[in-house]
Amino acid sequence: MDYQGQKLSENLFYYIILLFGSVGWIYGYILQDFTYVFYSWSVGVGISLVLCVPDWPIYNKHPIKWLESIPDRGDDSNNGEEVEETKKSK
Amino acid sequence: MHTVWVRLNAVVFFGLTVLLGLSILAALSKVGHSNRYRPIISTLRLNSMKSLKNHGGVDRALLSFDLHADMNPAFHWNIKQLFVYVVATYATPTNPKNQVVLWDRIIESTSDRDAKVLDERNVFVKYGLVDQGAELRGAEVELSLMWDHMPLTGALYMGGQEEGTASKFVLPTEYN
Repeated sequence: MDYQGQKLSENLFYYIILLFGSVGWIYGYILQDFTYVFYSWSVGVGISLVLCVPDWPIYNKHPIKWLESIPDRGDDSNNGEEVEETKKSK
Repeated sequence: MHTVWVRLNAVVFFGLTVLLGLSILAALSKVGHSNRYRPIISTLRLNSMKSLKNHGGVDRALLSFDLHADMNPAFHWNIKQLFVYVVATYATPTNPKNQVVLWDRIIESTSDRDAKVLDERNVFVKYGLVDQGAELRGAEVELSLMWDHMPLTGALYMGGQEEGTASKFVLPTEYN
């Protein structure tokens, strides 16, 4: 999941849970039964779990562009020896 | 938010925080309800005296009473159940105020409207009227109904029959 995807996922579950919770609360208040609030809230959390927890493709539309790797300088074996020497001198 | 576990944690605990908020709102939505809606207590009085005896220096009176009270007004969406109890209040030379619970009943909010109307005739006390000492003879006893509101969320609060509406009776002056 890329950075844009993480932001999208977080905003999604924020609004889904708040929406289901508040609509359920109003409905429950009108019918004077708190179980409706709980059911509505549960549905909201359930949808959020399915929608926001797995790494769906929609969250990977903005892959991070890394810099080109810097090519190695000189010979690998020489470099290795130099490192060995500096370590010993210290 | 970069792994499944962090997102799972975020969703679950944000959800629980929202549920807590909704519960607090539900509790706040009914502040003052018991001042506006009061149960209707039409009858609470002594039916008959069964006995007044002394057991090892402690007086105990047994009696039966009639009760009719509509508890429906006390219920709302944040009440889980009511704990309703009959209290005998009396004064003795030793203790100026004694309160003894004689009978109780739990009314759940899920029960139907009829079950929330207490209609008891000649019901025997569950717990004897036991004095701290031996001073029950001739005492004037007041029977009153009290109840605890047990909410889904929020603080438990008590309710009671309005002052001055309780019925009174005088216990016998001799043991029988």
